[in-house]
This record gives sequence, C-alpha cells and structure tokens, in this order.
Amino acid sequence: MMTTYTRRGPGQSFLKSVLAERINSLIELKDLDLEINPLKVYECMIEQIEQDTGSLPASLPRGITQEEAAANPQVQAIIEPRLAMLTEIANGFLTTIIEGLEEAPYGIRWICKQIRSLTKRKYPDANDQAICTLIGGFFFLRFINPAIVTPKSYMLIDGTPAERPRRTLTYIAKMLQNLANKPSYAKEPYMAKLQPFIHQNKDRVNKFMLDLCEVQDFYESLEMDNYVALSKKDLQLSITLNEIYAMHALIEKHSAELCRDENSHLSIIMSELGPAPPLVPRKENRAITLPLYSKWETAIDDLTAALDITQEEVYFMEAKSIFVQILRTIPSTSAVAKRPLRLERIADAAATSKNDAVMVRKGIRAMELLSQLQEMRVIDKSDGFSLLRDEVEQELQHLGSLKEVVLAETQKLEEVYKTIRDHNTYLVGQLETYKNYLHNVRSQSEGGRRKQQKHQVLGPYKFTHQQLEKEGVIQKSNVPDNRRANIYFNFTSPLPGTFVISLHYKGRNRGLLELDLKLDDLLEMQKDNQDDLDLEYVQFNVPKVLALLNKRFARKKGW
Amino acid sequence: MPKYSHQPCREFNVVVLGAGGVGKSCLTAQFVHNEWIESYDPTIEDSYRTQVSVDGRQVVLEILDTAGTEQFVAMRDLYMKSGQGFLLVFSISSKASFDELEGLRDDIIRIKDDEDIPIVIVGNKADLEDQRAVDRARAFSLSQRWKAPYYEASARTRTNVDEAFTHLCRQLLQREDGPDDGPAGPSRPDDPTSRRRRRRRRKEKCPIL
Repeated sequence: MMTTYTRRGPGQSFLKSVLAERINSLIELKDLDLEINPLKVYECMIEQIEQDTGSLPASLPRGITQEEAAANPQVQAIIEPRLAMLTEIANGFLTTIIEGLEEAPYGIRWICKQIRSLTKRKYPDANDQAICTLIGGFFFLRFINPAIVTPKSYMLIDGTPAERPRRTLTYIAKMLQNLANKPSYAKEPYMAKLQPFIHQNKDRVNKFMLDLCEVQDFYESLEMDNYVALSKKDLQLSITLNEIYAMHALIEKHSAELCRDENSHLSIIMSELGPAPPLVPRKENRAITLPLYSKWETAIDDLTAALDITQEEVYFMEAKSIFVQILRTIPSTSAVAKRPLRLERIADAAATSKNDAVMVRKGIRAMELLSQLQEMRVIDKSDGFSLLRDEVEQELQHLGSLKEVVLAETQKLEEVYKTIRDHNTYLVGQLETYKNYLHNVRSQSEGGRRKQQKHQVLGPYKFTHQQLEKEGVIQKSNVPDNRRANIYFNFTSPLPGTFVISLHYKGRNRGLLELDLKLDDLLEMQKDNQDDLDLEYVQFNVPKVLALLNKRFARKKGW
Repeated sequence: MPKYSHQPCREFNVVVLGAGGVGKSCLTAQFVHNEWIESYDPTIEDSYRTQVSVDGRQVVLEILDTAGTEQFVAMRDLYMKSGQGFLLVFSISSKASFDELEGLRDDIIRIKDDEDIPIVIVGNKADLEDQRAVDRARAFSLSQRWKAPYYEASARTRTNVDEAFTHLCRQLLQREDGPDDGPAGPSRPDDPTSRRRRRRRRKEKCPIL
C-alpha cells in the first residue's frame, strides 16, 4: 500500500524535483570510485599493484581481515578523501531535500503527521528524537532512499547506473538513513567514519522531519465527521416508497450499464429484488425509516482491525474532530476558546448553546467521548486531557478560524453571483435585440410579400434524373434504367417557404406527379432524422433536397 | 600474521533475503560479529565478509544483507544475480513474511535459471514462541517441497544461527565438488552425501535443539 502511495503522481514529481538533477550529475561520473569499505579498497589496491608490477610485496598479503585492512595506512589514505567527498555529496542531497519541504506532497506529510500523533498517543513519553526516528523510517526509508538507490524504477533517470555510481548512491542512501535512525555500527564498523556527517546534520534533519508534520488534517477538503459517521452503526434513512421504487426502476432500466459484472454488489441486489414494482398512488405513498446496514461490510470492530487501529483511536479521532469543529464555529474571542483549552468546558458550552441544535448535539457527543476516552484511560482528566487538548490546539493553529474561512468564501461567492448576474443582464439584452430583429424581418417580408406576390414565383428549375442521382438527391429510384434519361424534375417556389417538385417525362407536357412541400415540414423531417421523401417513382434524400433548395432559391431574395 | 593467507580458500557470495523486520541483519550480525543489535536500524544494503570452517574446510563468505523494506524491491534482481547461495528469512511471528518466500524463490530460480540453487529457509524469532503465527508443520512442508533445509532460529538467543549459515556453505561446497553431488538431488548411494543428508534430517526434526 505504501509503495503505491509513495509512487503516486505527486510523490513522483517531488522526487524528480529534489533528486533527479543530483542523481543524474552523479551517475555521469562513471569512474568515480567512492568505496570506503577497507577490505574492498584493499583488494582493489593490491589488484592494481599486481597488475602494475606483476607481483605482490610480502607486506600486502591476500585474505586479510577487515580490521587489518582498516589499519593499513595506504588504505586509510585512499579512504580519507572519499569520506570527505561522500559527505559533501550527501550534504548536497540533504540540502535539496530540506529546501523542498514546501513541495513535499501533502499526503506524504500527512502520513508523517499521523506517525507523530500516533506515537505520542501510544508512548506519551516519547521524545522528539524517537519520533524523528519513526518519521525517518517512513520518509527516508520508504520514500526518498528507494528512489536514490534505484532511480531508474522511479523514472528519475533513463539508463541503469554503472557499478561505481550505484555504489555511491547506496552510500548516500545509507548516510541519510543513518541520520534518521540511530545506526549501530555493529553491522559495518567502517561506516562509523561517517559519524561527523551525522553529528553535523542531526539537528537540521530532525527539525525538517518535525516541519514535515506541520500540515492540517483534511477537515477543509473532506468532511471528516461524515467519514466518522459512516463508520458508525445505527444509520437510518428516511425515504418514501415511491422514491425507492423509482430508483429501483431507474437502475433496472440502465442495468445493462450498471450491472455489467454479475458479481458486483448492485447486480446481486438487483437479481435478489427482481423487477421493480410500479409506483403507488400518491395517497398511498409514505415515508419510511430504513435502518441502513451493508450486506457486505462487517461491523466497525472488524474495520478497525483491518485498518490496524483500535476502538480507542477511532474515539480519539472523533473527539479531536468534534472539538476542532466546535472551536472553529465559536468566535475566537469567546472565553472558552482561551488557551490552554478546557475541553470539558467547551463541550459544556456547546451542549448548552441556544438556538443551535447541531452545536448542542456536537457538545453532547463531545462530552460522551471525553468520558469514554477517560474510562479507556486514553486521556486523563487530572492533566486537563492534555493528550487530546494538545492535538486539538495544534490542529487549530493550522486551520485558523472557520469564520474567517467562511467569510472569505462568502465574498468569493458573492463575486461569482455578481458576475453571473451581469452575464444574465447581457443575455437578456441580447434576447431583446434578437426579438426586435425578428419582428422587423417578419413585418418587412410580410409587407413585401403582399406587394410582389405575383412576381414572387421562382423557377421552375429543371434537373435531370441523372443529375439528381449524381448529387445524391435521389437515393433510390424505381425508374427502369432505359427510361431514366427521359425523366426530369422541375423545382418551383410559388411562395416563400413553399416548393413544388414535379416529375416529368420528356415529350409530355403535364407532369406525371407533383409534390407540394413546405420548408417547415422538410426541416421537421430532417430534425427527426427522417431521410426519405417518397415521390412514388423515386425516393429523395431530405438533407440533400434541403441543400439543393437552399442553393437554388435562398440566393434569391430569401425563402 | 594472516594464518590462512596461503590456504586455497573457497569464496562464496551469499545473499540474505526476506521481508522487512524479520531479522536478516540481526542474524547476519550475530553470525559474523557475535553481536546482538538492539536498535531499529533498517538496512539498505550491508556487506560482510567472514571466514568459516565447514567440515574442516575453510570457506570465505561474502554475505550481502539486503533491504527487506518493500520499496527497495528493484534492487533484488541485482542481488539475485550476484548470489550463489540464499538465506531466505521469515519471522515465525508473521504469516505475511512467510508467504513472501514463495515469490522470492521463484525470482531466484528465474534469474539464476537453476532449480537447484542452494537455499536455506530460516524461521527467525523462534524465541517469541507465544507470538507464533507460522506453524512449524507449514514451514517443514515448504522445506520438503523445495528440498531446502529449514531452521528455526533466534538471532536474539543466537540459536541455530551458525547452523543455518553453515548448512548453506555445505550446500555450496557440495555443489562445487561435483555436479552429481547436488544437495537437492535424489538420495545417492555415495557416502558423504547421504551422511550429510542424514544429519540434515536430524536437524529438521529438532530445529531448535
């Protein structure tokens, strides 16, 4: 789970921004050898000597021990500058990481904060050093260092680093990890040579890890109390019969989409329920109260087990959330908001507040939680519930006053409202203009029509069968092939918006067939996707006919 | 000064693999330095060199102690390539750590392209019997299936630590002595192998003692 988390988008781009450049410039130095394991250095050294001189002096035997290698002055001389170099590189990495604090993804920081809170709750005596060790066990061990030692798999570099840079990167990661955890040099004694790096940086890295925790919980973006509510039992829903039936029918109607997987919860429910019943008459429709439970989810006890949190922690989180909500609702100048917070008084004030049922409920719940947590010995009245109080106070520092947030929000919304209103006014004005315009056009064309009615007849325009077939106006023809050459059509517009299509046979004066068409009907047909216009001997294509009419008649004085 | 410098020593690369926090480093540090590590000091990559005597033969072991933390999974391929023998460690108090072994072995066999690669299974934290989450029987059945020896060990009490590493060395030596002498092969009439196999059986039956 953590892997998925730390490799997600925001985490990845953070890693890229703080690490990619340094790693890339390091792996370019393919031959830079910063090995400080004396045995390895010794072996490498004698191999080199043997290669150069063809033999080994008696003073440099093979197969010596770690201690012997470490005591060798030549080995020491090789290692000394490498230690300085490693320290410089690691310092560079650390500086970039620390400077990247504000770019660190919220999710990562929130996890760090949870580690701090949970540690404080579980071990009230834990000092900052112990907490930093645990945060480092997440931030460096699971987030930063994997990317340093295997940068390719975090897409920070393209190729695979060569052996020597890879070893250097491993050293950098080990050094950073040693900063976070108290190293036992029992494992690799030579690493003790890097102790100065740890001493120099201990303070700044610890401060950085505590700074990482300074983020707010997600009260703002997510309604924490709603989540807590979801984890509760005894949920009820007030709903009418017809609402249920309508919902049922709706799901049924779209079941092909919604219930594709027959093992999905919805499919199972739907097949158990069968077809949706018809709606009942309004008179018989009633609101009922449904106790809600999930067929699939097991109760909260198992949920806590699954999340690896205890009931105490659930209560603690809920209490913290409720107190934060209460305190953000009351004015910060109010007497109960003074520090140090007195939780019992706050709960009491909320529970007895006037004209605010929600607040009263929160106050009562807060009181219940206080006594429950006290019974569970999570918090203690004698020290003013300090464990809970400190966390609430800390949270409030990040959140600021809810009132101010709401005020700012209101102001923003008012601006939006004003913009919308302005736009609305503009649109209404536009509408008015169009109306006037239409009115003018209509009265003009009507007036004109009366005057020139006689001369208004347009056409006829003659089209051969072949022509119309080629243009796709005729989409189907029942006329035998050998007769087609003798068929032609006349298009006439006696009145604007009215057309007459007549079918003629060469040599005959009168048309075989005449069809009166209203533009409105044609448009209607097009809108309904009715493409066929039947002329008995031929079928016209409606959109093509429209296009043709448009081309022929619109250019002249309007329709 | 170096008393073994002229002996023809065999050198083997051994890699210690397993889930995070099962005690790979503690086992290794006990084996190499006789030291118990108390603090939480997660490993990224540590290397050790030590010389041991196995059935009268001197062997130099280059032991690579690896990160169990799942995020370092990308390093495993490289380790598996370099290793000649593997100590697969789980904690008897963590079922999940036991379940991870299967995948590790698959990867080793795939990368080494060798079904008979020397492997020893170690169930660490045997001193935490009250927190046991992996039945001994289950571990043994895995051991039989893989034809790989199983040791229940405790780095804390230094139980079966040397035995596990020594057994891996023995497998590596046998393998080097002759391809027909592989420890994973079916039982052969030739003497040293069957003797060794008997010894292994005995250990498997009573892994803690």
